[in-house]
Amino acid sequence: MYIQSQIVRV
Amino acid sequence: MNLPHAASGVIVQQQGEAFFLLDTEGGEVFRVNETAARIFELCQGDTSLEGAVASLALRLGAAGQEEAIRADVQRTVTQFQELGLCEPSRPV
Repeated sequence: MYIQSQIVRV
Repeated sequence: MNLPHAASGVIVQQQGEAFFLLDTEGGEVFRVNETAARIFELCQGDTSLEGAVASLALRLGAAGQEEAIRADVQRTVTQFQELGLCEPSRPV
């Protein structure tokens, strides 16, 4: 299953 | 349509199952999931949108979900550009 991209500034 | 190019100085780093995008020039660090890391890697080459969709479908085991992947790639590269991780799109 395709998992949408996630971007978190750390 | 091609994906925008990755900005200079931005690298992908993997530690275990965690992926990071490191902006070595701006000093910022972003934690991303595998999907975003793979999309960024495609931006480091000279990849068309359709080529990226096919590559991701194969690599992430998501055959048959090309429409969802295409929309996600377009959303993600726009976010990369807003964060300075990719170069602005060139005028057509």
